[in-house]
Amino acid sequence: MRRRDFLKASSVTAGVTLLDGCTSPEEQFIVQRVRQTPELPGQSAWRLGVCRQCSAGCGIQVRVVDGNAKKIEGNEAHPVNRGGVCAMGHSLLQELYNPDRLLQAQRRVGDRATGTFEALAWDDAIAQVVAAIGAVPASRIAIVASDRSGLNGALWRRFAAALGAPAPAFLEAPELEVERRAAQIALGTTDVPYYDISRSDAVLSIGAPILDRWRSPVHYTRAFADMRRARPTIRGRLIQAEARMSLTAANADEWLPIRPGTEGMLARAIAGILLSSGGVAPDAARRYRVLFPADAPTAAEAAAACDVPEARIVRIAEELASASNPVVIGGGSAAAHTNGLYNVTAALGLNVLLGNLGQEGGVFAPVSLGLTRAIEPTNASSTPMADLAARLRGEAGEPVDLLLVADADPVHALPGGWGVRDALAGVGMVIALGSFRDDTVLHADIVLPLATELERFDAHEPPASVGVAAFSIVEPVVEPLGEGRHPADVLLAVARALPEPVASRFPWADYEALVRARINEDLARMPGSAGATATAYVSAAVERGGVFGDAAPAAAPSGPSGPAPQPANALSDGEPTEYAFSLLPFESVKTGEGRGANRPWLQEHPDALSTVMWNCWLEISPVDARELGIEDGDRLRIESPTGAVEAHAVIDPAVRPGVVSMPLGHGYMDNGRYAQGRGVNVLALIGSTPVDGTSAPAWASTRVCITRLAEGELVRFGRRYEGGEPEVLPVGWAPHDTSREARTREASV
Amino acid sequence: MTRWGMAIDTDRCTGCGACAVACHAENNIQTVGEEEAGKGRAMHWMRIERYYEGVFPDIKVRFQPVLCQHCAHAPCEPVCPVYATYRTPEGLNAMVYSRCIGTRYCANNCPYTARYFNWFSPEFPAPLERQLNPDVSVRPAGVMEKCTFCVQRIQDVQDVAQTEDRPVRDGEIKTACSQSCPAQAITFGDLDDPASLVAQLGRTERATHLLEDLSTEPSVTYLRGGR
Amino acid sequence: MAGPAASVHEEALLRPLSSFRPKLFVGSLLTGLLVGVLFYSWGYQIVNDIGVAGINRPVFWGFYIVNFVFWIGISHAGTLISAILRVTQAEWRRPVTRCAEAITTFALLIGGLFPLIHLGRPGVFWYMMPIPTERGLWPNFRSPLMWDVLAITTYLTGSVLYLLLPMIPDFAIIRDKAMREHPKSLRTLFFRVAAIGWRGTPQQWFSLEAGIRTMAVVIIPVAISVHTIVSWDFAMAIQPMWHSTIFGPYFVVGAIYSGVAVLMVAMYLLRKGLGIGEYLNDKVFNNLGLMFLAFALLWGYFTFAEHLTVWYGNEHAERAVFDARISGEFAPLFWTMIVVNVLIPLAILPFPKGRKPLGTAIVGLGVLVGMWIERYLIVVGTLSFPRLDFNAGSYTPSWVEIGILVGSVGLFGFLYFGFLQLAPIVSLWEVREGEHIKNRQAPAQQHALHPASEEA
Ligand SMILES: Nc1nc2c(c(=O)[nH]1)N[C@H]1C(S)=C(S)[C@@H](COP(=O)(O)OP(=O)(O)OC[C@H]3O[C@@H](n4cnc5c(=O)[nH]c(N)nc54)[C@H](O)[C@@H]3O)O[C@H]1N2
Ligand code: SF4
Ligand code: SF4
Ligand code: SF4
Ligand code: SF4
Ligand code: SF4
Repeated sequence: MRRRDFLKASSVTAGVTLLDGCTSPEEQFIVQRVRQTPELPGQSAWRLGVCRQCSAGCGIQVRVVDGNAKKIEGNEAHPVNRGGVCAMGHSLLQELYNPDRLLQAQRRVGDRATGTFEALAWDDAIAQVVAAIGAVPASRIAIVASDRSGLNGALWRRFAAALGAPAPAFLEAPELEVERRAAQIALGTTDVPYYDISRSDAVLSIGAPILDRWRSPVHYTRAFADMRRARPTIRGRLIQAEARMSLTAANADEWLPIRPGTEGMLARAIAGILLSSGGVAPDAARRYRVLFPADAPTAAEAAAACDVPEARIVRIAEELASASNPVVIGGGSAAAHTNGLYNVTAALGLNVLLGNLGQEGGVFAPVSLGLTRAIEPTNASSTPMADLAARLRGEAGEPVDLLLVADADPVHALPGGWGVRDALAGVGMVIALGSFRDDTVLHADIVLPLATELERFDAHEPPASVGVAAFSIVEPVVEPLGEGRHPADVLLAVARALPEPVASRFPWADYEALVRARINEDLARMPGSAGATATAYVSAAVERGGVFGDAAPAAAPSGPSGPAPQPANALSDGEPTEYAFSLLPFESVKTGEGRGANRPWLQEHPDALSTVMWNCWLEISPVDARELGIEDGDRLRIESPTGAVEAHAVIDPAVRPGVVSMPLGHGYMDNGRYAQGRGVNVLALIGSTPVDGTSAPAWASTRVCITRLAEGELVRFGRRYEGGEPEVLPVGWAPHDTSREARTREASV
Repeated sequence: MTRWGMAIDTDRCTGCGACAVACHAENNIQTVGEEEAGKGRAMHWMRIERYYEGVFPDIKVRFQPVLCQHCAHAPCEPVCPVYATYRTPEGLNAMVYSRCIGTRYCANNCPYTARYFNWFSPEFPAPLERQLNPDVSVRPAGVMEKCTFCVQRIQDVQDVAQTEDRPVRDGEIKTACSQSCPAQAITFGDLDDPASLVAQLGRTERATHLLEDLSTEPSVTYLRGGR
Repeated sequence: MAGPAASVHEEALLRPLSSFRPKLFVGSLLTGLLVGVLFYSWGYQIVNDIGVAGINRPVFWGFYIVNFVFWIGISHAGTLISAILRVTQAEWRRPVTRCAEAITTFALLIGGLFPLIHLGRPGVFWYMMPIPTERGLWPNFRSPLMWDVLAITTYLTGSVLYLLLPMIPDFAIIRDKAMREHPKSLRTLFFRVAAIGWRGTPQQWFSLEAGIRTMAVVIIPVAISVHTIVSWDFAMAIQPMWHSTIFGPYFVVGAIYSGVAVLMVAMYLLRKGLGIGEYLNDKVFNNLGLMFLAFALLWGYFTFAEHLTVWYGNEHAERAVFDARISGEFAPLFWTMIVVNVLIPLAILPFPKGRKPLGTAIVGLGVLVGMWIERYLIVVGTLSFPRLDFNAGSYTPSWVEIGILVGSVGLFGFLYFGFLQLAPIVSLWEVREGEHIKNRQAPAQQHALHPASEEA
């Protein structure tokens, strides 16, 4: 007997099961007791799960004692994380047991955005959603969901198509669209490629914060560590070209604090050096010319533009050229300038020159099991988020009468310049699938709670490929706390209650049935399926945490698919004369894009560099701070052409003068006691300028001006920067280098 | 004999902080809230110290995870008037919470500032308390605490080994921090077993100890980065 | 009453004991209010947990330990000074001993409260008592805190004895007077009990003097050991600028210095308030002022020596603490301390004019502030700068800690005012004895000069 059989029949859904009438309540009770406690009271069991706290989708195992989840650890068999878990992943327990979680469906009773709700029976809620969908023309429906890839994305596209509504928009890291498009152009891959850094000996990352909260934080952290230390004689090096001192830059062997927006220039200059060195294979050079027919800028030109010494550019090019397994990564803030597509294409194009496509330690095409194919609608498109925002504002496309948001918080996560928050006032009906009173749920008319990934059957294929097949399939780990369900289950419940022709296009009772059906149909194409029945295959997968291809990455990208965009200078939103600083928002390991904000563990977790707890902050260089008369902790007003916010200063000696940074994920109106009113949302400053050639917002192009308001204080765990002379490190300190130079530092913070 | 020890590879560690949160989850460490944290009362048995070296643009950041070093000559031990902190035969610096009267002398005398004090009793608004680890007591106000090397996990494995009538295998015990570490930077094991991984790492030329000149003889080895 | 008649001035000494004194009443009332503040603050802390104080990590010790060291230091006023003067047979000591010994006892009682106030779990303070239990758990005698417990209980016992012994004949004098005036009153009963049957027999005098002589000799090493051990709370730790061999003598000198300071202030107030300038006369102030000067010089020298070695040694962690004192966040406090503890005393005390009651009292008040700052700098200054300087921190006391500090001063005053109403603040018999010695009476006949019971 399997746990989920019980859980399905457990208290929350007991009413439904009783209606089935198959067994007497007494019998059920006995069966439940037996299934609920496969272990003795007080004994612990480890159950496999999948972490969905970010899109990486790490495999986890959860310690369960007396039906309560106690601890999350990594599933060592899972190729995404191989046993590791990040800080955010641990905090999933505080989502599960969050005191401010919504456990029941809600209906708005007060004004919009005040968050006055009353509880609603689940079936009534579904009925009201069905009625609301029926009450508006399909063309006036808008759908926002969170997973573009995988079965969930396909289901939402299918749902929109069945309704005849415009395609759904997906809320994801905004620069992902740029990274994806650049990979298509430069490498011919359908999605962001896999960077095999663990087997590389020289990694150049242009803008991509691979060790921060990027595409697969645990995977790339492990790969980075292995690159340095897993091989007895080879210690790979990471060179990070990024305007901000990110966690990745902090760990890099070499940091190039490049002028923001000039990343493409750096990559092109390196290409020029490689090409003229004569070390590039003719075939690689030919393929590169498809991308960039024009001559590359010289190192001197790039040095001037990028503010990086020419000699260093030359040396890095030489280092890549002489490395056995070099790899170049592009993305992050480099992708989020108006010329971001050019920047990332130029970065990824270097791999073509280095001839590492499909090579050990190089770049690989993403791997997918392709399970979505059979359920994709004929026109499998999605609406760019920018277009959806325009629809909401009533500026383009069909106006929106009904907005359905699934497991996403567009009000909080989209640039202030897109005006989504204000536009929601004009939307007749907002339906949100969510478990916290986040900024979108606060605007909702009907709220359908979601189960955490620990309370539900889940199947997930990580959108960021790790080079080998990885498809997590897991059963519920604990009994659900409330009525929440998997977003796909909510979708299926609504779809099946809708009139034809919608209902019959969703023949699956629930998400699990869908997954089983898909595996059954595609069994022959599933790795390691020879000779197995679909049921046995799924059972075996559940035992392990999913379906994993165990081979090393193999799929070679096909190579450049067309010319890269023309080089262009990064344009800024705001004139430098008026707005002196370039603003780089970033995801801290604390709050991520906002997911961590309602968890005490993460709020009290010191940010890696600033060590700030329980608040957001603005990082500014000591040089700029001195000029503006700013002291550490001072309250500042930060103003962009789009908006203004107030935050406290962190004077950080590793900040590039002229650049300031603020973490995402703060400034919630509510979102529970731990998040409410804490800090500000930096996205309020971001305008609507898109990255050229895409619809993605150019969030790195914003300029701001800063005024000191008052003295203030930030709660920090470590000592703050106090300037001063170099000091000798404490004796016994374990520096990376024992030379005298390395044992001095400017100051500790 | 057994002497538990740890090796932390600073060349692997990225300062991601996963270990610190893992420790909170495993050991029922309270969060104290913004106001208390602002008074310097946040509790992180495992903390990531961050130091800067150099001047922009040639500035480097160093991360160093610091936990109780389980010193063989622990300065925190003799000063405790009630034996609430003492050295176990297996080399752990242990805390007896029920014995501690809260003089905070031990914390003053820990050169690593590795000890944390419960200024108030913890609060776990329901249902957050459902997460609490039943193997670890929740400490009340007035009591000192710090990294235990996850002693409950050590005992768990020892119990299993005992029932199976075999010695504990190297690598079988994983502290919560080492288990989570995405970079696999933390190795735990028996320093008295020369074949254990942690003992081997301790013999490499990269091995150093924190504040070595104080002769506290820490059980935590740091592996230097670079070449 | 046998022996020579009491001098006219004795009336001034006995007046507070027998009649309502508005000054004393107001003083008791005001200090009583402060005692209320003390117990309200402490009660608030017990109910709401130790976190209501401002201490934190890394400054785990704050006001409470500062006050502890301060009051234990003050306690060196009496016993040590009076014992030294007794042992050296300094004749001018006679009017001073009683008021000094009272200071010792009350300061010790208050100082002894602070470790209790400081505990995170005061309810189980008795874990530090060597109480046999079936678990066989014993306190850890390797901990300097246990040495504190032993030293302070010994010192307190000794001091109380040393205060009480010489009070017996005085109680008898008062008893006799009271028996005559109000034989049935409660006060009379109290003094009858307090005089424990003193009749002034040669045997009693012999025993008493032997006892006082012994206590005077014994109490000196005890007192020295007490503050040495208090210093070892710090010196045994390996924290920067605590781990210092000079701390033992440095603390003892500092303790006596602050003890003389409080004595100067107390004598000034007693002289003013009770009009007993006849006893606490300029000679006493002048002589104590010289002693005060000696300790100012000694303390200044020790402070210099301590800081010089740290500066010269230039060790990273120690320099962090040192620099914060000399030029950093603690510099205002440090230099204030130097001014009030060294510069002002050296500007006033070397001159006979300065060693008048007002001058010495002003210096004393300054030194009290300075010595409190010294302890604050030692406790908080070091703890703010841990060796791993990522963890550096700071400290702001809360209202609870301030309330308890102020309240402890109030409690001291309250106890002292109470004492003034129970016993003559100048030892009657010792002064009489002194006068007779001055009048060349044969020492062998001493006992005849002293009060004997008229009760028998
Ligand atoms: N077979 C059986 N099992 C039972 C019960 C029963 O009646 N029969 N009763 C149950 C009940 S009600 C209870 S309460 C439990 C009790 O079960 P336990 O909690 O195991 O209690 P004890 O065995 O009394 O004590 C535990 C250990 O603590 C040690 N000890 C004593 N004092 C101290 C101290 O100050 N510090 C430390 N660290 N250790 C100390 C003792 O030496 C002993 O080794 O057992 C339960 N289990
Ligand atoms: S990286 Fe993402 S999926 Fe993996 S543990 Fe962290 S939050 Fe979870
Ligand atoms: S989890 Fe590992 S990599 Fe992250 S901070 Fe801790 S030791 Fe370093
Ligand atoms: S690190 Fe500190 S707390 Fe841990 S054993 Fe050493 S002295 Fe004691
Ligand atoms: S705080 Fe507790 S463990 Fe530390 S010395 Fe005091 S009684 Fe001992
Ligand atoms: S060993 Fe255990 S208690 Fe110590 S820091 Fe790691 S997780 Fe925390």
